[in-house]
Amino acid sequence: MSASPQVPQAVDGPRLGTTLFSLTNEFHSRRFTFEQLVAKVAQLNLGPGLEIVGFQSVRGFPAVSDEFAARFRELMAQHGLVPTCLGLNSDIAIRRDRLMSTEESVAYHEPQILAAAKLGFPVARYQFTASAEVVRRLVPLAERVNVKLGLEIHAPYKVNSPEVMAYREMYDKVNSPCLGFIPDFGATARTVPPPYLDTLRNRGISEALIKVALDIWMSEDELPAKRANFAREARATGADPAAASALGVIFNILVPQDARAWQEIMSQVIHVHAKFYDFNADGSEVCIPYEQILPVFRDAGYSGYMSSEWEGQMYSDADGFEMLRKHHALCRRILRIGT
Amino acid sequence: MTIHDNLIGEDALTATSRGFDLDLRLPWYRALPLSTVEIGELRVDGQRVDPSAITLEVNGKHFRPNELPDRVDEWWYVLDSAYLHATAPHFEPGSEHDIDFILTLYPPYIPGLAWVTKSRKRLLASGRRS
Repeated sequence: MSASPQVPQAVDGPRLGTTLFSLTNEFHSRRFTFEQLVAKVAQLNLGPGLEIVGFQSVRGFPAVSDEFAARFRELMAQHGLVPTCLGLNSDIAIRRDRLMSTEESVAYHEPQILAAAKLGFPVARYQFTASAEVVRRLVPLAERVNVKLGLEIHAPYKVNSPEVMAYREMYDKVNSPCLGFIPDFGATARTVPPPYLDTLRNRGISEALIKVALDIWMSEDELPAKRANFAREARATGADPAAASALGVIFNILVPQDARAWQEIMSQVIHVHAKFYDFNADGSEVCIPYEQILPVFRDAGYSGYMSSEWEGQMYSDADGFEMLRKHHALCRRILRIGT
Repeated sequence: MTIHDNLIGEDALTATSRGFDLDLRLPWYRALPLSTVEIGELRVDGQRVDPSAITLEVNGKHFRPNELPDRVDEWWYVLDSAYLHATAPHFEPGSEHDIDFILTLYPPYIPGLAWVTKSRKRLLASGRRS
């Protein structure tokens, strides 16, 4: 198969791409192999950026065989795609009885950073469960292998949450070109995806509990208070624990925040997760105000990559490629990128 | 089907000489270590199957439910099936059974989250796996 032509960028601004996480259902159901996903992303012009989650796309991760690495680089070249970001996981609760020590967490991240370098990813996403001290200790390795470490600023945390400030302060002290941030647009949301709530209604969750959950979601409380309040209400209504745990996920995936909040850290943004769930009839996104968010990035001069990240696959079996296509169309319209 | 509906597929049930097998898919988007996987209640036609009658086969290795918390280095990859082997009850190929099963995941980068997946299905048992 020949490389598909990728659309040139008409104006400065975020560059488009896709994370294969969006295609979790296609992959998990064994309908598409990894290579078939990559090929179709290119064929549908959903690149040029390509992001993967290591523990999803690579069997045996963080070990990456020479064969896989060579084949991966070959695929990128063949399809005209650009590896943008490797999703690492900061799995500090891998033991059920205790969390990892700082030393254990450092050791857990090191092979993942080496995997990013081996596969040609310039950026590695890490998560809040990697403490600022852990990340500080990883800087020499990151600098040596030339991989930038990006904290995914993901709900429930916001740009100015104490949890984020700990990293911002560490970044200021260390001042390394290998440290940055990865905004996830779920942290500047306006509501919770209505289709997800519908799936929970079908599982017998009451309207009353959904309303309580949405009120708690909109509140200014930090996550522990939100969770505690919700758990109390769920118990009081006698909700099915499985359905209640699924409803409680809304506190981890989305948080209300003004889009301009990203301006404060824009100079440190090294990649973006353009999270989305579903679309209104006019093509706008139901939960996340792209018309407000994308101009904030463009006007601040951000010209790095942005991965379209469809999380609706957690409750919907809609065609992930079609959702990505709609998302790229929306982003192109707002950013005035030609098709 | 989303990955969360896919824990037990339509052709997951196999009658065996010892009892039955269930083909399980991981209801999560990425590989997880077995230490974060918890086998919950299993009922066949309303009858609870004792955990001592269950083993979980992952990567060709067999584990008892109470051995899973220590297996921090054994990974269940997203494309792989795990096989739940039960030594009771015994039933015939071609028979239909109500299977109720609960699997709980503790995603290791979200401390404190218990992700509970409940599956309730009426399944036709296929023939014996060797």
